[in-house]
Amino acid sequence: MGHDNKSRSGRRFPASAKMAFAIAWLCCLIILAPITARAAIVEGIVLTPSGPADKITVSAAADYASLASGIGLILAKPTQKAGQFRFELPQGIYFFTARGEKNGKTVFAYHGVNPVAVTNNYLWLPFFAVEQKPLVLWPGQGQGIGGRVTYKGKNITSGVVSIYPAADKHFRGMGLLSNTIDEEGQFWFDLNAGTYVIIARQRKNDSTMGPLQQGDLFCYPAQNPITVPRDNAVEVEIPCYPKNAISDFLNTDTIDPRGRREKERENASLREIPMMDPGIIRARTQKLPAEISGTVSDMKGKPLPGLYVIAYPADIFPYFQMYVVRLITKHIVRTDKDGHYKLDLPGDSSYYLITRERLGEAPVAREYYGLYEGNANHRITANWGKHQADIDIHAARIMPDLN
Amino acid sequence: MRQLLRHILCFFIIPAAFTVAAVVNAVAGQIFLQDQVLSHDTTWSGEVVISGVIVVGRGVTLTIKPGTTIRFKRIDRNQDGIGDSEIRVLGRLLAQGTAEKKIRFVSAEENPAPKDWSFVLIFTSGRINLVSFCEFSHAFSGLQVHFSTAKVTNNTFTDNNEGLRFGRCHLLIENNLFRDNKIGIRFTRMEGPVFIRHNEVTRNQVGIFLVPSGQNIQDFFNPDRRTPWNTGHLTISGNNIHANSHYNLDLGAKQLWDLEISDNWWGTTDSGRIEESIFDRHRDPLLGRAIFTPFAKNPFATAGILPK
Repeated sequence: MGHDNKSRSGRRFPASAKMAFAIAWLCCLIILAPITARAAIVEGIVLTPSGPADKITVSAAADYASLASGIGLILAKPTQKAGQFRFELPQGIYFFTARGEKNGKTVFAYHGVNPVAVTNNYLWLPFFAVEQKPLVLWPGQGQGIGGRVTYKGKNITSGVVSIYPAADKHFRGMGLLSNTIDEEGQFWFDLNAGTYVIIARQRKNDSTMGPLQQGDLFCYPAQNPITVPRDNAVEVEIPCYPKNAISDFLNTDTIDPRGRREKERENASLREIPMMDPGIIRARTQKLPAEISGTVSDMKGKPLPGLYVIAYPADIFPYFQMYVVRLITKHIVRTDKDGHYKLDLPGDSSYYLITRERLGEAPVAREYYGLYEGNANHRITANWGKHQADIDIHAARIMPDLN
Repeated sequence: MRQLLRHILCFFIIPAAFTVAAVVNAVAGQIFLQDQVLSHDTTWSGEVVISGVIVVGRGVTLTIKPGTTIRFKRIDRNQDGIGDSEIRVLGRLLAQGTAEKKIRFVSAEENPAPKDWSFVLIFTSGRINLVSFCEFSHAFSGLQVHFSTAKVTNNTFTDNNEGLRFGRCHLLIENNLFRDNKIGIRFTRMEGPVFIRHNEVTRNQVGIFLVPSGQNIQDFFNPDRRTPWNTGHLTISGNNIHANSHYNLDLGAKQLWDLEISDNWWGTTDSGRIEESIFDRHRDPLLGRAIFTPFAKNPFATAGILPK
């Protein structure tokens, strides 16, 4: 035997021990293999209109609360190439942000696709970072958030600004409140004292709904979430970047950094990453959903077919207020010909239940409308794997004539 | 003994129509109510103390007898600085006092202050609600009416954050007194039909405040200033609107539309002074214009609570 298998102590192992060691090693490989497979490489670049940003910090947060607090962030490693970074992340859903400097100014980007589903082994994630201006507080000048929305330093004079509760998970749709940007490029919201996330969007087709298209502007201030102190007006500038339109974003004298990279490396282009509905991701990983069912009827007990039953998330606002029914929800179902409904819901969450004839606008005269009256808060709790029956709702036509 | 007394009170003294669960304070003779839904027609009289939210269920009528006092305890569950006690009417409210026996909606606190309680909220009601000869004080809003129909006459709104607030609704606001509130009347829509007439609106910080609803305003469109926007929808006439410390009328931010508000008494016959008491386009060019001419040359004797 030319070489001995030796341990570090130089002690020789018997054949049986070698066999046991080999089996243990195989077991380790089997156990560790899925973990290795679930890791994904996320690379990207932080661009400013003047080119790649300097001194970048790119972070991934498991949820928005972590992003806002800065606790538990996963930081990317910079690479040797200007403005570029690299993560190794477990597959999952993340909120990504990027900070850096350019020409002595601080730049920031919140990725417009957030929360991003990292499901593949490789993801290219470009950031369009823009200069940030500080908040200004105006004591005694009202209570709310106002300011202007800018693109490349100039006010934009159309688009929609939306206010979301900081506890919102996705910051999509119209939020708590939405307002148009006026002709001067300004906006204002009267708000209760509290903490909010504010996002502006400008769509080229003047639509106010739906996903942003190439060239539409996404606008997010680095100061989010913004706290509105009592009796203070908060002034903020919300800078924008164009979705998936690098040519528009870069200044005319800036070299497009794609060029060679795009030709040489298939996965390193500045293409937009696909946006996956977090709800779909969640549905794939959830246990059985909760379910509620019941009947919608008028005051004489006659079933009402074709009415919408809508469940508004109640965990964020635990006490029913009128504005609850302005929130965005996807938990909507219609009653069948017998007035019955069945609604699947994520478990272990609470919801306000209402029923009505119309969607997407404030209630109108003589519309059928009803709130769940099982308690004074109009609220139900959906439990994992449980079916709650007989969640019945009465509806009546509202707003009769005055005389 | 206490249990026996409670049963006696429940079955013999409290009106039979009062069918909801209630805790009776045997010492004070008050009815004490916490969060609950009234699911049967109910009548209140005497003293009612509310700590929480009382929902008048859809299809249910809450009748409040003349002379009844409803006291709201200050509780602030969501820590927003506003008391949470509230009556939320999905069914029907009949609160009809008399000139001699008014119905009082007041704070239950020893040292009452505005915002001690939330409001009487009439919300998506399917019936005509009647509120007359009532007094509202120390509320966030004495009365709010949204997506409902109501007649609000001969009431007093004093020492509230807001006297009356309304949004989309069918509403008659007639012969009321709005005094010593931060805002007398606040509204967010000019749809109607809404009639604001023969009211006394005085000594508030702002008499009447019009501010657009914050509800998905993205569909706001450019104002057509050829016709005041409220024409045919919202009538504000025959009122005495005067001596409000900040403004008699305030068109809030983004209120772009002209508001027809003629035939009211503004406390003076000097049009310049009337204009100074109104916040509209003459102060902020982005706002609409308050068209207050022709205006009354004398106070309306018919304004305010009747009979005088």
